[in-house]
Amino acid sequence: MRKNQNFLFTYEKNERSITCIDIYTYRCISKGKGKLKKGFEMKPIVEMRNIVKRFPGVLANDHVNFDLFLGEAHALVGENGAGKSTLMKILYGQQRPEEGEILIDGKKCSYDITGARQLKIGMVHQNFMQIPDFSILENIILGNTPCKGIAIDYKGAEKEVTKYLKQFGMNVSPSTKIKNLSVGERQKIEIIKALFFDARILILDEPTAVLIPQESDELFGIIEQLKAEGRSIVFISHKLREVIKVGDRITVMRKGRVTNSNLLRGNVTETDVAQAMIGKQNVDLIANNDKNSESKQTIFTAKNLWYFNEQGIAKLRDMSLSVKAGEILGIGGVEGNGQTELIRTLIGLHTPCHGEITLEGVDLTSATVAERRDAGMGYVSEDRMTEGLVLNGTIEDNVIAGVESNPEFSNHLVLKNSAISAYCNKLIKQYDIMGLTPGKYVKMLSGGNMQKIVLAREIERKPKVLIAAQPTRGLDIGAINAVRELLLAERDKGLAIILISADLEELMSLSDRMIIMYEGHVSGEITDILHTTEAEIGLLMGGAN
Amino acid sequence: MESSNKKLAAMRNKNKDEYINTLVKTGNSLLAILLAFAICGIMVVFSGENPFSAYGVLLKGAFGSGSAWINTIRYAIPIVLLAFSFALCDRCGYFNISQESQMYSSALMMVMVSEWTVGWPTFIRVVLIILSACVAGAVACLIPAIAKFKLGVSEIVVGVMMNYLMAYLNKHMIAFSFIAKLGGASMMSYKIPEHMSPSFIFITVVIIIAIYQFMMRKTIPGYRLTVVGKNPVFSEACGIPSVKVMLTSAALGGLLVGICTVGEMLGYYHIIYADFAANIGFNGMTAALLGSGGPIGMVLGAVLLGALKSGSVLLAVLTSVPTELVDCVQGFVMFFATISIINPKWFIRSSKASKKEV
Repeated sequence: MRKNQNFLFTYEKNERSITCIDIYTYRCISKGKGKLKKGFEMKPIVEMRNIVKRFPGVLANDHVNFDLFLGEAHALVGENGAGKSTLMKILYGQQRPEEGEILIDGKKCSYDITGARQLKIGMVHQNFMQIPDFSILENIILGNTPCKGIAIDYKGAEKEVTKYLKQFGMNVSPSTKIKNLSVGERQKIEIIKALFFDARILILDEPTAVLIPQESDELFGIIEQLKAEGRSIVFISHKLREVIKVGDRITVMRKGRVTNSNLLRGNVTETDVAQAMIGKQNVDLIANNDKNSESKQTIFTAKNLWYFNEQGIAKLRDMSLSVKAGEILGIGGVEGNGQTELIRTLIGLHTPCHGEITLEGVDLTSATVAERRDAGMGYVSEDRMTEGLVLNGTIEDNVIAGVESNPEFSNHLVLKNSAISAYCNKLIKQYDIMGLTPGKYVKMLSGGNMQKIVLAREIERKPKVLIAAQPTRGLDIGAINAVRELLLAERDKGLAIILISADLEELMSLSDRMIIMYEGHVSGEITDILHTTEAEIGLLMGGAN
Repeated sequence: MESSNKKLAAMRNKNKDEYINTLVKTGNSLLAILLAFAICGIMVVFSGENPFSAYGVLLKGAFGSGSAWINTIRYAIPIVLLAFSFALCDRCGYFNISQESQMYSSALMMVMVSEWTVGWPTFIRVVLIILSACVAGAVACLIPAIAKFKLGVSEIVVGVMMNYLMAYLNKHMIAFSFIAKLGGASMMSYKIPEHMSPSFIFITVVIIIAIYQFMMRKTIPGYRLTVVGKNPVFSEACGIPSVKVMLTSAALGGLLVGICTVGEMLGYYHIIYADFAANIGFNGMTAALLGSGGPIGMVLGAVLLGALKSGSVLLAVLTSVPTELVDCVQGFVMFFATISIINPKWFIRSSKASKKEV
């Protein structure tokens, strides 16, 4: 503290224009212990100039400029593939720019991740970099271990970690195993990990993607705290509402370029940001405006399902649901409350140890995946990249999987290659799949086009029930709308859809009826979605009845 | 004509990365062979011979005359089959290291069936012998495969153990069972009298390769094998039973080894002696690695290994270089082929960079 006051003192005494103030000075100023001289202009602590980064086939960053000031939350918005994550990976030292320079505190720097830590740049990745079997403490000191001689200074570290845990309102001991924490808690641990090496620049990559509304609000509170401490935050997101709420300044990226920077808090609306993001006028997400599921006939039911995972933990506990033809049943809940197990049990990838699954009165409880699909079930996997598609395969490989023995595509043994490619061409046109050339592997496609292939495959099988898990996860607005439109159109044709999504807004705007899962069973059913608030649903997600 | 050329050029541009990948794979195999010969050449120098003349003799022994060619092809044929068996299993993520055990079991089965059917009509006998060899190979291949795909045990551990197990069972059978021919200088089994002409075997192998290629590219099982190999989770979710397909691929791999044994037994050995298949399984693996799973590459790899084997005879006659040199070359080839020295990423990046400059 003394040092900081000295710094302030010298500043006031010399009355020279200081271009860059340090974090301690900033904290003093923000606490009212000093004042910046009039006319003093703060220089950014991070300046990225003309960053260019190429990946095979894509220009991820095209002469991008980005800056960050002390104590500011700078939101970086853009559709998927706009290059925002790449830009931040460059800032974090994970990737090197091909052109351009990074100035930290006005000095030109070139560094890797280790260097970034020394420069006190921290990043919270979308998928947490944690070891589930390690304790909180061990995870936090991993890679940044405080030592006493040759021994690890567990006590000192524990003290500090406990301090942070308290600051973030977490009531857990540092020796708790990571795997026993909720996603929201794990994210806080990830932030503490960055704070543990005193990161002054903290990059959050889509932090709210896995959180319930209440947890997101908590995160925004934490961001405010960090800002008050003089840390700078880069907040990557594509959820407009959050961006407007969190960002002091908003930079919008599109196709590797900054389309709009320096949108300041207070004088932007969601529409402004959205327009800059997709470069179009019409940005409204499609919603289900015709919520009506009465007078329709129930065709698919699952009764009293119980499922235990490999560790013997009950992931489904007396779970029941039913769907009517022409109805979208939304299944909400915090991730990890049995949704994954539920859909896998429904499609037949897991065998429930108790319960009954029927489709149009036919018992499918012990049917195989192929039998269920033949009976009229479709499955859009939540994990597009592994379960939904074979990435190292062409569109032909992907769309005929499961129907390859269909007489349309083969005569008993030999595949009819010309019929298959004609079928693929039809699908490409019908579902507007872009970016395909013959023989090209689908891994080169964008997420939206990948998802269109999955949906094309499933819908063309003419299912009666479609399990759609996270169908719009990671897609950009254009693709989200295409997927939503497709689902609603199929519903109108009489398809029963079970929609599982972590995006509450999506569930509420698409579903005709919703159920909320908590710890493997239904914690509540919502029939009147229009008159239910997010907060009420949030309570159900937390297990309250 | 012009338009087709344009199309071709367009295709090339689109799949440039894949072209580079293929080139790099070929380059890697050639480099592995080159390095192996270079290192073994140094060893020849140490043993006091001129490596160039030694290799010259090897080349002459392998391709110098008509009979040398025939010999080379004779040695290459079983290796081709083993390589295809290995590649087939490898497609579904099953590392078929236990080919040796499959050879022992098929050979044992053949001799046993031959002994059981003494006096039967020749045609039925031959058919039974061939079928039993195929079944025995498939079953022996399935044991580690079931351990892997049903129980999650590493197939390499089980496979290597199987190799020892079957080698010792083989020794036991030719010493203490009804197929053991006693009174000879060394342990051996009774003879299978039937003979298969080498040219017939050669044609059969060519047909098998053609069937394999057709199956892989154009048929439902081939499609399933490919998709399961690329992404078992995906196929499971699409209703293709992954484990079943994987086990089928293992059984087919074993069947190919069985056919290979049939060729060896009926075309050449006619009897079993101790350790007759020792290390032969690794030849197939080396050829498959050299050809990186492609049919042409695998055949060429097999021819190289066959040439080494047939050339080694002349090497022993004309020079003082020990024939073990050949095993040495083979070992190094495998070693360098496994580490694949050239990384395709270098080229893909630099080609992008060159685009930038243009």
